[in-house]
Amino acid sequence: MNQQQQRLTIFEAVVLYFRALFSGARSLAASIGATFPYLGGGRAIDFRKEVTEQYPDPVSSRTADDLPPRSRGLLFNDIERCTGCGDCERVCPTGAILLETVNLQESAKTWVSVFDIDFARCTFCGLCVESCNPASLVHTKQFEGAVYQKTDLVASFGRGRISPAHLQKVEARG
Amino acid sequence: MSFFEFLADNTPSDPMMDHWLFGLVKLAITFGLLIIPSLFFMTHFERKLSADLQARVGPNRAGWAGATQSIADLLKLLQKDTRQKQPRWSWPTLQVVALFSILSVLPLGSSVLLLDTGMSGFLPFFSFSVYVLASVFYGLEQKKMEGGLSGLRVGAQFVSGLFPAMTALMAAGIRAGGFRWSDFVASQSSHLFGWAIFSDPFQFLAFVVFVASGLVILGVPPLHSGYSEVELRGGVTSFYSGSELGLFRVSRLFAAFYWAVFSTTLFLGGWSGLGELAPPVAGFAEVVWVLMKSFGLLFIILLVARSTPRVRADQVTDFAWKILCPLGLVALLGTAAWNAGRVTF
Repeated sequence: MNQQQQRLTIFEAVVLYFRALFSGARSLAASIGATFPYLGGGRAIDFRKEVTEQYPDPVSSRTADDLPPRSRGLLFNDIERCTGCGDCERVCPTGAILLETVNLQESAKTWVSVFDIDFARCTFCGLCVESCNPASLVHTKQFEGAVYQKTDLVASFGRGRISPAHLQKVEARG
Repeated sequence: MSFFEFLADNTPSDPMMDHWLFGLVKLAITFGLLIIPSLFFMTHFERKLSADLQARVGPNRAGWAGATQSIADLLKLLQKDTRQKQPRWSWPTLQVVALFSILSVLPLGSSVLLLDTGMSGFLPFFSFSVYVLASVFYGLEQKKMEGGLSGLRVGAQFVSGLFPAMTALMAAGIRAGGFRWSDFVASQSSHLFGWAIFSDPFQFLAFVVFVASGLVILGVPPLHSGYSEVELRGGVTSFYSGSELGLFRVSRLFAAFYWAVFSTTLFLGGWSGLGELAPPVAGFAEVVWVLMKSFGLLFIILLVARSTPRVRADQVTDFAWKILCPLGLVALLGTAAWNAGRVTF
């Protein structure tokens, strides 16, 4: 920086100009030398092979089962185990989970009438799965979530809204 | 009178009509059988080679090794809705018209060359300036920060790249003794060291300056910060969508391809150097030879583009003004001195 601020003679300026030119050309050559071995797949040397994976499907002879064990696919809620505590709804940073519950009068259980996950909002961060106490909410290995309608992105796992008469029946059954 | 009767009546007797029909047929052949397939070829190999150089897989779904991916992309873009209020005459249309006008002077081979005037070497510059100005005005027309800034950058890049490109073209013209494409080709003999770039050091310098300033003018990677798709939310293309965006992308490919063909003709021997062949075979071989050399040049540009990060907008213009301009002048003066005794105008 200091060198540039002080006044240069014409000779020094010309030398600096050409030095910059040659250093630019040399760095260009060096960068091409770094990328060139990758050409044609570069499979000969192991650490230079392609690091992205093929899309996991039968075309590339890989299936969803080959995915890593902790891969986070679309969410699934086992409503039989779900207690309706609402931890997942509270912890969700994007508000993708909507929960509606009805408390049963006689027992401590709740009736999970609505359990909607909006995959348009979901970022697949996995916080809800971590916070799920009965471990009913899990990541599946399903990853193909493309749909034609935006409304199709909402996955419903709830038992449905319930009338008071029906609620009494459920309570009677225990 | 049907159209074919009209043709039959007019073709043999009227040499002017003959000329026009011949020109039209040449244009159709050049465009349909050479340019369009070349563009699909270019798109595919650009993608595959970029993927290789970046240790990715690249397109692998549509067709064998993703060979028809670019066709699929084009069909998809054409199907998409464009913006609501679409004027009949828009800037992308002007860009396409400007690039189409180059087709009449595109030196792909002596058999498909339509016009060979004493100004041939300069004609692409006029078309390219219309092409770039359309981008600039489209960006400014949006009255938004992204479009306006990007439009100004594209304009600044164009202005800075034009002068070195012109000096390099002059250098080539001095060596060839004229600005006809046929002059350029005739002055370069068949063997490798007869090509202009290897004939003297100043021509090599002029070649480098010409190609680099073409990247600056047209905003070809790695000097494409004027079009800055990423950091300016699309830049001049932020209002484009659907078929307009497709048209714009294709036109940028066109422009890069044209520049490679011009560089090939000016410095890499053009269509010369195939020896004696029978007329139809010779015409075909010339085109293939020019296309091969152009794609080779584009491959080198791609190699540079994928090996270096994108250059900042002010650095691009700095590079053009402070490095390409002096070098272009050196190439021009050097060529003039080198060829002083040889050329007679």
